[in-house]
Amino acid sequence: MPDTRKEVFMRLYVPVHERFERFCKARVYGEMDYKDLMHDTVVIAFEKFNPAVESASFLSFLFGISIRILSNNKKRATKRFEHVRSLQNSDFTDYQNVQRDEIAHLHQALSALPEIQRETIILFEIVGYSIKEIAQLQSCSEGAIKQRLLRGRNELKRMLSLPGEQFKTNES
Amino acid sequence: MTDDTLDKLFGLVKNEQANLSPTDVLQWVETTEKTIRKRKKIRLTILVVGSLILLGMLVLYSKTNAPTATQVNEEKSMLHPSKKIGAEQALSIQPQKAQFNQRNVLFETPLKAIISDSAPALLTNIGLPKRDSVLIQPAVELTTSETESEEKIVSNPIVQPYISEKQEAIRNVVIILDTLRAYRSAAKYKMDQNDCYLQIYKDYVVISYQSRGGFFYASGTIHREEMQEINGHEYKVFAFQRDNQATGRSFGKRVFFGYREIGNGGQRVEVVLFSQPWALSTVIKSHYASPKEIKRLMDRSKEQSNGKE
Repeated sequence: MPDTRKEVFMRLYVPVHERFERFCKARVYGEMDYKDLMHDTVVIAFEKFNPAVESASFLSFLFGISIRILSNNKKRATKRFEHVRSLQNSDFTDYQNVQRDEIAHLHQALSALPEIQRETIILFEIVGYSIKEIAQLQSCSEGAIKQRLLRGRNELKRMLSLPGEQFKTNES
Repeated sequence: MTDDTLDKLFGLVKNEQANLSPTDVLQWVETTEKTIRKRKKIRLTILVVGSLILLGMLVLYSKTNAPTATQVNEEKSMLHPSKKIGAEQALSIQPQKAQFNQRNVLFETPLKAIISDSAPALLTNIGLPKRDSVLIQPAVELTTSETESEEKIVSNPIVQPYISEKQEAIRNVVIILDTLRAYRSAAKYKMDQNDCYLQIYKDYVVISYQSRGGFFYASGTIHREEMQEINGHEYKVFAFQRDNQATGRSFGKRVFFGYREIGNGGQRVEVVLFSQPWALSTVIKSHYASPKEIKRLMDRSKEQSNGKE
């Protein structure tokens, strides 16, 4: 008996679960709860899932949906920004170890970057995508991706070198 | 902050444990699956209900807006204006025309059984192969003279006494129908009120009846109307020129028929088709009479010619 649609979906999803969660967590810091983003993405992905088409690049398929959701949310949810940010901070309960503050600091710095730059760095540094894959996902040249990575990293280094949370002022 | 430190930080994020498990995601997927199923059911239900409502509305619309026989007939008559020219020509030579146009709609009623005793019998006999019996063929011709006798029976070698003035012509044909009534019944012609009806308008007639499984339909403009007393009953006799008919026969020819009311002015009427359709240049066709019938007719004719009636 052939696998059901749900089984195929889960078979493709389980191997990419952790990478997808890391992407969401880093990408939506300060914008919305990453679990909400994951949920919305999975729901839409499952509704639109076509095993014949999306099997080859399932993770990119998920990222594409997430990016569209964020893009739509950003247009209408600017007023909720502060409220969500406070929720986001309280959600970092799993950062029980020593690195918790450092990771939170990094996420804050990432959230201060321009959107496209932040996405490029997350995909490259956290998700582990190659420059070529990112170029395909963002529909631009590999040179542009390299440029974004360089500029993004420099900006991150600059912000993380600042004492306290001074870099926060840059985002506003 | 150096690149190494930054890489180290990214390394920490990479090695971070996931908060959510795939099981959580599986629950989302299952919930979504149920939602999709429900949504499909709702859409299907809406589609089916909507289609049924639409179908119902269409049926209702078609019923309420279906043209009546009268409307169809009027449309047909409008579609054949050239056919009416004959009637108008006939009207132009009929001085009685004016009084018909003043008449309102008289009634609309199904035909009663009496019509089946006579008219279908005549119609269905048209075109049958000749039998051994003698053809009774009273003829009527239209004259353009200004005398009172606009129509008269033309001489027929077999039924000589039928030569008479126009009123007699009608009466004689009725006599023939009376003879037919003796051996033809309504049940034989399987008539019913759905197919059989008579509509008389201001100056227009629609008549429809069924005979031997065949459907007959005729309509036309009334060009003459008169009262006839036959066997103690008063008949109002109409003549109309056919401009529409369902059968292929006798198109454009003239039909005489009469009716009388039964009861106290109610809608129930008795209709008799007095003669066969005829054209100005041709004869009225009747039926192939049996020898016995011919004998009776001849006897009656003799009585008439001897002035006994």
